[in-house]
Amino acid sequence: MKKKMIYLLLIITAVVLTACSVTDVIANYAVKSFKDLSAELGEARYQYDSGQHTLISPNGKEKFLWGERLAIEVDLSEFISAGLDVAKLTDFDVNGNILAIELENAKTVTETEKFSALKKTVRTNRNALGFDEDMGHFGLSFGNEFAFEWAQHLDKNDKDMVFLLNPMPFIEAGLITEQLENWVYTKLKMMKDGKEYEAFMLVRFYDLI
Amino acid sequence: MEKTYKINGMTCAACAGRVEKTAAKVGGVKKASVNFATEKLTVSFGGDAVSVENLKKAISQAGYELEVGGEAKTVVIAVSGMTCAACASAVEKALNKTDGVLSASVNLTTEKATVSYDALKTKISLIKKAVDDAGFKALDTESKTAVDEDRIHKQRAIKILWIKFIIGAAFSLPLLYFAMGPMVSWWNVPIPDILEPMKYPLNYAILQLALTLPVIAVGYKFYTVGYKALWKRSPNMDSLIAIGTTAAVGYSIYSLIAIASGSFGAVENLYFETAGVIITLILLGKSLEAVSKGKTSDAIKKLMGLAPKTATVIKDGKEIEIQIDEAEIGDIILVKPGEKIPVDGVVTDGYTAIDESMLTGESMPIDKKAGDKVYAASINKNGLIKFKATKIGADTALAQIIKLVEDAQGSKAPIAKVADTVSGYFVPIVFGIAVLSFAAWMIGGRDFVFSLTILISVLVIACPCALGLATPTAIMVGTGMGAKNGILIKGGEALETTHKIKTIVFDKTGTITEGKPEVTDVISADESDKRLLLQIAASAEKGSEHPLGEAIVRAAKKENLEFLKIENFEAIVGFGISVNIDKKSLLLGNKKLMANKSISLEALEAQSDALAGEGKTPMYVAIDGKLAGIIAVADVVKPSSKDAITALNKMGIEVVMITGDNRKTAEAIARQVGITRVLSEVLPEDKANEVKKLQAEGKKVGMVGDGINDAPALAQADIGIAIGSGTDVAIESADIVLMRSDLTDVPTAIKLSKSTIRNIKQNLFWAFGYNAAGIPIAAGVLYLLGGPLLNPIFAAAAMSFSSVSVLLNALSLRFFKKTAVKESAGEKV
Repeated sequence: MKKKMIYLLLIITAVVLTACSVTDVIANYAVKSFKDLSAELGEARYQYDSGQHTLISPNGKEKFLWGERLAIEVDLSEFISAGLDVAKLTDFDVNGNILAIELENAKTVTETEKFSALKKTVRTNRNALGFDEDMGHFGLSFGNEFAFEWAQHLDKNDKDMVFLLNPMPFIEAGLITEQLENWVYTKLKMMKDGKEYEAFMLVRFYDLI
Repeated sequence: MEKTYKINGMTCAACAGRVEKTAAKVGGVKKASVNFATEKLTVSFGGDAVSVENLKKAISQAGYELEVGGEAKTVVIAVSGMTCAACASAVEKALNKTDGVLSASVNLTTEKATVSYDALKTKISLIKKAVDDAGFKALDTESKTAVDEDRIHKQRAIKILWIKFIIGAAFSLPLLYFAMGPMVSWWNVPIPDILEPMKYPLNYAILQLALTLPVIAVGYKFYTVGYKALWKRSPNMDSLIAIGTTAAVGYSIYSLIAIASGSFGAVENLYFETAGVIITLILLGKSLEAVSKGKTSDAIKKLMGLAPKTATVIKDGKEIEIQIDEAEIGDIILVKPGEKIPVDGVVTDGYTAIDESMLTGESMPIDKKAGDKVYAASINKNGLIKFKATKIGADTALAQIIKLVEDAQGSKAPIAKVADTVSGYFVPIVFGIAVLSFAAWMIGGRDFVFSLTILISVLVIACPCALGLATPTAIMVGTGMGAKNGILIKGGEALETTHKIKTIVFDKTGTITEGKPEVTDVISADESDKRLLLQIAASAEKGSEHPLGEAIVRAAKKENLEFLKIENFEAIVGFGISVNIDKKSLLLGNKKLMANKSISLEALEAQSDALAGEGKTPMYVAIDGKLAGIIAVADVVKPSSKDAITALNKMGIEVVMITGDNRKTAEAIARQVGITRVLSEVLPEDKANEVKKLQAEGKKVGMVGDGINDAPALAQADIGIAIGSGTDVAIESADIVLMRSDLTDVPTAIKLSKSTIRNIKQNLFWAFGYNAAGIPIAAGVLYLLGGPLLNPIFAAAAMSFSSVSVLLNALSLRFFKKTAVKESAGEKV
């Protein structure tokens, strides 16, 4: 009797989990849109090395990484030109001019195929994934208002690939936002725990189509 | 001929209107009337025979169900002597062959036969005989009375509604929680991560759909009935609910598909909770409505429940307990102290006091001896009596009262016709307003979702169920309260007209007075023997049914006078009698009779005037064309008469006394009770004319009387009120019957009528008020002026509340107190 109950519970759990993966439309469409983004950027903007998948922005200065690590990397050269003292970013992982923002406690994915890896990444780190209805963006949040977003419909959006940074640590480290090139310092609507709020962000976006 | 059927499936006044129209179109049907509150259709047939099947078919095609077989009853009879299946089969066959048996089934294990039979064609004793004739023995029966079955049926319906509501609420509350919770900014609603609308919108939508489907399932009748009615181009309340909620669910399913297709923003366009909560609230309203509707007929149920279920019959010197259905006319029935009288009859043996308060409202027990009538359901207080059954089943006084009250409760007051007419046009108009509002907001630039919300709100808030309940529920409670107080009001029209009475005419003898006059004076014209005068007069009046004649006969008997042989008796209606005694011609009657026969009254004029001045009625005796004397008779005024007339005067109602008696006597009685307008010396046939004259003054006239001679006046009056102790003809002619001889019931009846009509008006105000105020708000008029927009859920709550408030208001009539009359007469109670 006990065995039967356990089997039944396992079957129910399996059905629910399968159903949930099917009904998790945000994750499914996020991967689908990411495929479009990747296709638009082309293979030249994709790298794979020892379980680490990387998608590089058109100008090569920003990267989105998934697989071994789940992170974004930003070249801070332009920030330094705008007054940033990298030495003051003591709480961040900065290697040379490259700033890496990683999702804490991210679950490692070992898939070699990039989209399978991304699919598994978003599923295993599902809490980091969201959808911004106003912008039409899927986004992976790395915490502390650092994020990577991509458009659901590249053809309908003028911000297809977006990197978002919390400006405060950079401003405190000497960055003068008005002197920063290519990045936009602007107020955006943000969401936390289902609640909306507004905050200034540093935004770097690319319109691919 | 009239017949009443139970109709199932009606949900609002529009349904009732539809059934009425459908029934009226069936060939042979003269008139059809539906009481929405009692769910009964009363059909008047013309000369042509009407097939019930045709009627049933027509009603069914209209989307409702007509229950046939109002006379069908079921009885379970214990059968002994069956040993095998063949025995059971033999009993079954014997029963099924019996005339009037609709169906019979025998259970060998329980040794019981369940028989469904037509009570008009057969009776239990015949069914039992069929069992006995088949070679077995029919034992006790377990029968369910119509009251029990009706109660069980209604209780089951209420229980089902409550279960539906509970299921609806069990799914709607979590639905509301998940749907509205995330929108409440100040409340951090805990929702499982996997159901977060912004993270897992499809899960969120599917959950809502899953929670909505059971609610739709329990409310499926709104859809089956509503769409059927719509298809028949006769939309009703269910059509409004069905369309409103279908729009909400349809659009939500569209949004769900949109979410599944990647339009995640559609998660904000889910309205499953609107549909779910609307259905649940309406189920709540319907449940409360069913409970309240049940209470409106409490009075009649109490009456029906009064009848005992068994009777003890004396057969061959033995006491046998039988089911009440088995009692037959002529049975000698034994009733012990404390037991109820099972059927109507005449006491043959014993002496007791019987509480007849259930019939008359009179709390004092009445003494009964051999020869006195007893009535079913009255309570034998202290003695053991035997009586002979004279009326059984539907013929008992109780059954007649129940029928009268039921008919009244099923009838429509003229004011109800206004509500019916409005209800008939209401639903299509609401559809129009809903569609126009939707179109207007769309054209005005609002999005589809906003306009859809308006459409749903208008459809839901405008359900006209309160409108349909406003009049019949008040009439049911009003007539029920009347019956409880011994005032039988024969119909809604009577109930409504009564409150308009401006003049009320009372018959004198038997109405204002006790109607049992006694001889007070015997005056001889020529100093001859007064005893002889009384003897002659009594001999002439022997056998008379006139109260004055009876008084003379009683007086002669008291004096032990012998009755003389009479010849050529002639009753001169309204005047007196003419008779020959001992070859002498005798005239006995009033002043007019003497005047017609040119007999001078001069010799006794002074005495006559003096007697009349004292309120006594002088009866003149003339022998061989010469006045021989006067026999004065006086009637005693009922103790309640003065109170009643004072109360009526205080109510601003003119009171008139009408009598065939002479003016002076009439005025003397009038003075005693406080009546200032007297119509005296009125012949019986002129009473109706006098009423007509009063009506010609532009007043609504009520007539209170008790005798056969009052019947035409009772019929002529706008409202005829018969005293219950009066004759059958008077009761038949009247609109209101007072079960007691207490005249304070007259102002009580008028007050009850006023209270009921006021209650109906309040109900209509509430019903119309909700719709009049609700529809513009739902259509967004307030929003247009900067105010709030009505959420469809609140629209549903308001709609349900409107029905409940109307019912509660109708039920408040149950607190109507009779004491109010005596207070108004200036006495402390």
